[in-house]
Amino acid sequence: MMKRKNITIGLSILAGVLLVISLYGIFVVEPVLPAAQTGFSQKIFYWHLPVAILSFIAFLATLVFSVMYLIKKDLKYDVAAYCSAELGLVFGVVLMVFGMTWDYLAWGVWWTWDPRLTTYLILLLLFGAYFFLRSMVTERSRQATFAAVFGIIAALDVPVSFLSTRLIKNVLHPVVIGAKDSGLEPSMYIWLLLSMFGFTALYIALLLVKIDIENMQDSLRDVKDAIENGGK
Amino acid sequence: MSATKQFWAILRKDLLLELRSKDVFTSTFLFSIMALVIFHFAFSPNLKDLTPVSAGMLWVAVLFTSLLGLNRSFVHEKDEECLDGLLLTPVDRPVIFLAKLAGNLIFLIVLQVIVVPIFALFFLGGLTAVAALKLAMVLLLGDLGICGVGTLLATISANTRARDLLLPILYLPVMTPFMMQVVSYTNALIMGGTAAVDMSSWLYLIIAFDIIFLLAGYALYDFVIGE
Repeated sequence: MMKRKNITIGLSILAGVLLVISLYGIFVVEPVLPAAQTGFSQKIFYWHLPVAILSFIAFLATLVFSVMYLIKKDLKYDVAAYCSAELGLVFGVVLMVFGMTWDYLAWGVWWTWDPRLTTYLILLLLFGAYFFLRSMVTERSRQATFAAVFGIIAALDVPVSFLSTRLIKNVLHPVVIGAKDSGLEPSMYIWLLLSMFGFTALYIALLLVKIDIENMQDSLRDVKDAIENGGK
Repeated sequence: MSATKQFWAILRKDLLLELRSKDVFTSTFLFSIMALVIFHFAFSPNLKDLTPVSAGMLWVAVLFTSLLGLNRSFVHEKDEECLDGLLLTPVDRPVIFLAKLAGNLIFLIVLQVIVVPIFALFFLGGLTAVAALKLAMVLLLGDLGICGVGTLLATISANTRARDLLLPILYLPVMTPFMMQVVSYTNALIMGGTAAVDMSSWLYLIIAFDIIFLLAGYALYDFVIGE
């Protein structure tokens, strides 16, 4: 347990250092791009992409842990799935804020029904439903099973949903906003990778902390139940 | 008792219950007609001709109406602890899934046989025979997807504290991408040859969704109902 605590602290420090260095690189070292490449607002990109990738990884981890729970019926997988989904939602909301700000600064619109945005919105709604479902079941094993089943359905829905939105857009409307082709310079990759590693460390650290909190809550509940049952 | 016999027994029970009470049919029928009337008044201030939005209206009506039926199919099982009784009998879980799915599918199809012509009368003013056949096909494919995933999610929600409150929250986001396909296809169908679009790609996606939903429902049902 001690060792794991050290890992968490180490990862948190690593995440902090990497992200601060990446901020320095993004705002001080890298020049502002010309307006044709969306100018100053392009700097959001350095954090936007890593957050997007990590939110996907978080939801993917939820899928994997959900399947593992259904196979092994071990509650620790359910705890991991739940914690990862929560982080996915947090990263997802941050991503939406970044994305919408960027859209507004670069193209003057807050929202557009672009395939990526639409898919992401549906994904967030699905995971909103996931948490509501969890809150509506009190019995622990039933909660875990239902959440795992819904998590799998939701995860299956996402790739097809992305495909659907693309298909509809391509047929009916021209894609208003072109592919975010930002023409990366080699030096830009360094800052992008630094942010990527920084956010990955942050994700793992947060996941470990969150899992510990959940486990503590579980054992607290067990103790409470034991007391209520008169120590039987 | 063979699986086929078990399947028929459960299906027959649901149909008999419905034939005697007509709860689901009456409520879903009235609900869908009311929905269509409200849609008319919601859109008519700006649109003289409602044909361009009629595909959307049809599917929203179908989707919301299906919620009523799906909820009903499990809530009444829970009320009198019938589901526990059903689970005590030596019936394979997938058979329960398939029988419930078939029941929901039949309710939905019977409803549509009556409501869709009324819809066509209200908003379309005539459809060619080929288009009508294609509409029937896409409705059937849509119903399959709706009932496949709906039966699974209705079982989940009936077994929670929120009961029928939970189903829309689980069901609507899962169905959204599916709706995009069926609405696009139906819209192209209703609007006729105006847009030279390749409708087959939507059709393939609808079929892909159906297969995914049915397989997922079939495979995951065992976990859900065992709890």
